[in-house]
Parts: sequence; C-alpha cells; structure tokens
Amino acid sequence: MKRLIAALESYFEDGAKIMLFMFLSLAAVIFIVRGAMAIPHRYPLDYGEAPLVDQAMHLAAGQNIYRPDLTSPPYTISNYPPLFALLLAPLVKTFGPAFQAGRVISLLSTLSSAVFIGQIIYTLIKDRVAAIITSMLFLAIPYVVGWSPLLRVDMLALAFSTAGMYVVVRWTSTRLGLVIGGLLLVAAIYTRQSFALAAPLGTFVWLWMQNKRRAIGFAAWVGGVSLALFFILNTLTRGGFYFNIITANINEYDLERLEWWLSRLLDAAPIMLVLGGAFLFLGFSQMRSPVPGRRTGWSLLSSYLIGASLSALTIGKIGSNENYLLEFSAALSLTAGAVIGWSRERRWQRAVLLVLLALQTGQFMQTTLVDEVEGAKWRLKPMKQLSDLEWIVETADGPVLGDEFMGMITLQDRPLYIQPFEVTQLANAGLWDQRPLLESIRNQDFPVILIHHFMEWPVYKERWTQEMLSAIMQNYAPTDFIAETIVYQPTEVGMGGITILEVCPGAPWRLPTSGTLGMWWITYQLAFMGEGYENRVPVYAVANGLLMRRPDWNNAVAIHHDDPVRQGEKVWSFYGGMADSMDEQSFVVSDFPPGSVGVPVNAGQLLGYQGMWSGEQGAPIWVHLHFAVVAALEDGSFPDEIVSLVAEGEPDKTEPQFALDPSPYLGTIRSQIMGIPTWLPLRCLEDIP
Amino acid sequence: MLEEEGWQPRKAVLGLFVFALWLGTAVVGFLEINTVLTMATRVYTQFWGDYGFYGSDYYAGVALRQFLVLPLALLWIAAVIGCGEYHYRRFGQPRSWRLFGWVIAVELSILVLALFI
Repeated sequence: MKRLIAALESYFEDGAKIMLFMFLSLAAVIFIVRGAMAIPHRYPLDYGEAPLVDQAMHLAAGQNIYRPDLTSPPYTISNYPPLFALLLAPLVKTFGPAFQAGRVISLLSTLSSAVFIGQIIYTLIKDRVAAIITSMLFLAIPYVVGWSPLLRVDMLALAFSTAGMYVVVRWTSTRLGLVIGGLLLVAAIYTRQSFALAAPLGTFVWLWMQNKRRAIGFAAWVGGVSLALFFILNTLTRGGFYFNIITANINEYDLERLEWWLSRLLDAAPIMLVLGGAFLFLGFSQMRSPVPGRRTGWSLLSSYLIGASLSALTIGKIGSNENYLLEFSAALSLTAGAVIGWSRERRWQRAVLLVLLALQTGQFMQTTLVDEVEGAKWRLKPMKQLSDLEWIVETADGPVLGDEFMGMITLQDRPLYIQPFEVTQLANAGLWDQRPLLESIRNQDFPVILIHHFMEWPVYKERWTQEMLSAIMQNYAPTDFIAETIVYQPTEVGMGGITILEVCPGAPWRLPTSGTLGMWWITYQLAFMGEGYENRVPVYAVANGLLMRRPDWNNAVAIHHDDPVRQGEKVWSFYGGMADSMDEQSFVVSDFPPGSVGVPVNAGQLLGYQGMWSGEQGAPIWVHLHFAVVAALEDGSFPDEIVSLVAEGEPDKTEPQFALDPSPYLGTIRSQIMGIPTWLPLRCLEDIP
Repeated sequence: MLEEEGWQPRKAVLGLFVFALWLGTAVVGFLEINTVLTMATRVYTQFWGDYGFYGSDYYAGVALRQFLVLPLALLWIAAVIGCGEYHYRRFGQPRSWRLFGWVIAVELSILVLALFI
C-alpha cells in the first residue's frame, strides 16, 4: 500500500499542477481581456481618475498642486504624493488630457508587481513553480483585475514597493542593493503614502534577522530620505503638502464599512486567507528551520503580511475602495507562494495545496466575472450616452461641477473646479468653509452640474454636503439623466424649479411624493425618485378616496377614487415600492395594515415613505415611489393582473387597458416612448413653453 | 495452451484496462465539449452580453458557440487518436500512465472549472 501511495505521489502532484495552471491561465486571460477592454475607453472609469489628470495638467503647466488652503476656487485636493502625477505630466503634455496613458502605466505596474513578487519567492525558496504560481495568483485576484487598468496611483506604488523588497532580498549583502532598494521604497511612499508601512516593515525585519546594524542603517536611509523630501515639499508648498496628503485624508471611519469589505474578502478569498493565517502562526516553526532562507523568509513575509493587513484595515474609511486591499493581495500571494515552495519535499501535501489554490482561483474568477467584469461592462457600454454627456460639458459656458464623471471636464482640457467628495469630507470635519461655494451655486455660476447616482446606494450623499445639495435643488433643475448622471442646469434654463412642487396647476390630483431626482416613465406608470435615504421621503394620497391594502401587499397600497378625467368612472391610484431592498421592512404607515379595506383617506394624507424595493430581492434601486393610475373593473375592484405585475416589479409588461396615462391626473409631462423606461424631470405640463 | 501461443492473461487484463481507460477519457472528453462551450458562452455574456433574448448579443453568443464547436471537435479527435496511438506504442510504460494522469487531470479540471464559471 505504501508503495502504491508512493508511486501515485508524482501523478497526483502533476495532476494538481495541471489543474492549477489551467485555472491560472484562464484567470490570466480574463485579466488581459478586462485590461484590453478598459484601457482604450475614452471616458473616466472611476471617480479618482480625473483628479490625477487634473494634477498632471497643473504640473505640466508648472503650477503647485498642493495649495495650503481652499478659501478660493478651485476646491481641489491632491490626496497623494506627486510621483504618479509627475510621471503622467509629460504624457498629458504630449498626448493631451486623455486617460489611456495613465491606465497603461497602471497596467504595466501591475505586471511588474507580479514579476517582482514571483522573484521574491524564487530568491527566498528557489522554487520556480512556486514563484510562477505566486505571480499568477496575484493577477487572478479580483481586486487586482479590477484596479489594474485604472488611472490610479496604487499599482505604481505597489510596483515600486515590491521592486524595493525584491532588490533588498536579492542583494542584501551589498550596499548598492540596500541603497537602491531603499530608494524604491521611498518612491512607493511618494506615490501613495500608505505604502510607508508594510514593505519598509518587512524589509527592516528581514535585515534585522541577519544583521541588526545593517537594518538600522537601512531604516535611517529610507526614513531620512522620506523625511527630507517631506520637509522640502512641505516648505516649497508652504504647508500645502501636509494639508493635502495628511489632513485631507483623515476621513470618518465606519466599522460597518470595514465589516462589509471583510465579508466580501472572506467570500472571495477564503483559502488564501486561511493559508495566510496558517503561514503566520504555523510559520513560527520555520524560525528554527535548518533550511537556508526559511527563518529570514518567514520573518520578511509574515511582517509584510501584518503590515499589509494593518494598511488594509483603513478600508473602513469613507470613500475607500478595493485599492485598499491591493497590498494585502500581494502579501497573500507571497504567503501562498511560500507555503507551496516549502511543501516541495512533501508531495502529497503539495498536491493538496495546489488543488486548494486551483479552487481558490476558480472562486477568484467567479468573483471577477460577477463583480469586476460585470461592473466594467455597464460602465463601458453606454458610449452614446457618454458622448452626449461630454457634449453637454463641452458646450457649457463656464465652470462645470461634477463627481463620478468629472473626467468629462478634464477631457476638455479644462481644470477641475471642485473635487466634491474630498471637500465634503473636509467640510464635515469643520476644516473647510463651504459658504463661498454655496454662494456661487446660489448665484448659478455654473451652467451645468453633474451628480451621479449608483442604483444601489446613494453615494452622492458622501460626495456633496447636504447644504450643497439643498443649494443645487433650490437653484437648479434636473434637465436630463444620462449614464446614471442627473444633469442640473440653472432653473431659468431648466424651466422652473420643481423641488417643492406639490401640485401642478390645473391638475385634478396633487402629486403623491417628491421627485427631486426626476421620475421614470414606465409606459403609463411613474417612479418618482426622491432625494434622501429610504423611509424618509413621505408619500401622500393624491386625492380623497377609500384605501385598500391587500393582505399580501408589503410595500403597496391603492386608493379608490371617482375618476376626475373620465367622468362617471372609477379609478385607483396605486402606490408601490414602499419597502426596503429585500421587501422585509414595510414603510407603509401603521394606520393601514395589510388587509385594510375601504379606509377613508384625504388628499395629502401620509401613506408611507419611499423605499428601495425594485420588485426583485437584492437588486435595490434609488429611493422611489412606484405610482400608477389604474382603471377600476366593472365592479369597482382592483384588477388582479396589474396587482401581480406592479407588485412584482415588472411594470413594463403592463398593458394600457389597466394602467392609464397619469399625466392628465397629475398634470406632469409625459413620454412618447412606450415600452422603454425613460427618465424625465418632474415637471408640469404647463411649464413646457 | 494459450500462454504457449504468446497469450499472457495479465497483459490482456492490463490491455483491457488501458482500452477502457482510453475509451472512458475519450467519452468524457466528448461530453466536455459542451461544458467548454457553455463556459465560453458564460464568459462572453459576462464581458459583452446584454440582458434580454433575441438581441444582437444573444446572436453573437450563439455564433460564438457555433464557431467554437469545430475547433473543439477537431481538438477532441486529434487528442483521442493521438493519445490512442501513444498508449498503443508505449503500452504498460510509465509514460503511458503519465499521459493518462494528465488527461484525467485536464478533464477533471474542466468539470471543476464549470462549478465556478
């Protein structure tokens, strides 16, 4: 039996290797295709791309990007040290303010990082297979796939950081190796300041384990150069450097956000996390290992993993994204590679580890396809809408404010006027006086304001202060909805303010709720999009009538009225979507429990609050009210067909024999497009000139 | 008597086992053409597909599937014939078993991959 097991060892190891490399190869193809899709895209792919282009434009023009105060416009913040923007500046000057060149830097940096971490494993363990697996695993991680083709600083910082570690590990005993390795770590720090922790800590501990004096000298070199640069830059910018990269980065910390990211990480990388943990705790045994390099190798990688974990914990900050997990991803790949390398002599153990990593890679691919690729697809697809949005910005006569698509502004070679998220955080912390900006908004100094809306979460509330939003709502009107962005224009251009509209002149019914963010016309049904969180925006009865709520209606009520348009007929007004995204918590007021029949209500009586229930569990949409006017059946009852269709959230299939055009009842404008949901500003018919 | 004529029972059983293994991997490989096509369609859909049937994306997905059938079928035929000849020429040798190991690993990988994609 023992002989049989011994004979099968190599077959199983080979099989496991084939399986893992098949998975990793497919993951590499996904990485390449995702990058190839994203890089040529003309328009911004992320909020953070435009500020970097803006900074590069300023640097190319010889201007300071670290202003010490924000008392006058532009209200922009340079969150990061200048290295990436410095690299980008000559490219922007040569090729114009496009995003592609910066994305190529980021992608090449990702590939370099993969090579460097593979080289680190090979230098430590001398196992080529483990080194290749380390590199390819890194490229399979969803956060790496998603972030690598973005014009962001993170990948360049990671490339410098891993290069610095590799140089130190490879040429530990030479002075030049330590000097160059140290400079690369400084370069990483001056690309993204959070890289001052993990790699410097790892290399310091690595050196300490071999030669304490050398470690102290190395720390003095890295720390000295970093501090000297800091003082030079801070002095040159009269304190602006500190203000921009330290003060303006201290955002509010939210434990719920941390929990959310941790649960996502656990879903995506359970095996890598277990391997990392096992490496950290079981690796103590390597401290006494006689095998050359194991003791020091463990010290390097474990301290790097600890440092990267601490950096990753800052993901709980408001505004953080998966880029906070990139260094941690590199650390997990390194520890996985080390575990594979160290199991070389135990072939069964190695085969099991390879299979586990193959399964992990499968999980990575699934997460990448569902999250990263799917997300990018919807970002890349609406080219016509994006070019329309660009045209609006291009033809705007004056400074434009924007958030997610502020890259439309830099694309026109125009500087940014504001980075709303950054200054909102400063305003919330009491570090920035927003009154001059509010005054400019009230004066309608901006011909166009673009506010982006993600369907599932009102991120715009983190990007704009409530005061800014109020000033915009009071002085601007939503005139268009393009690429999930509401276009606001000054009220005289936008044909009348609509925010406090309760009833359209001459309409028989009042409006059921506010539609500050516009309304969706879904062939005779309306979704009013309110501004705010769920369970906050009130919903009212449009007219006197008798309320009915069926026993199975969690999120809806209907009211029976005399039809004011078709004299002598009866009609129902229907109010749906008043529940949370899972349809578990109802926002209908308790006066109308399920099963209510014939309850008299008056026009303007509170019925409930707008919710995020879309008709499908786990697919929330902005807070809204789903409103319809429904012809009563001959016996006056509510038609079953529309009950199921509306309540199930498939209104586009509703035929007009039941749902009536709500425009004559509410006096609101209507769409001529039937069958396709269309966004319209909430505007009265008589406002149309 | 048979042994005198060169008939070796152990070798015959082994030959039968090798043939069954080859046939088994060939059948699984044939069935996996469909699995690979489904995965390719899924990946395509995830990257480029839109919601809804009968749009241009739907037809592109179908076209991709149809386009891939021929190369996958040719690959399968080449693999079945090539592996068959390899096993025949190296009957009972470690290299033959190793190739079986690789083929089974690839086929198993495709099945496992289908759990994720």
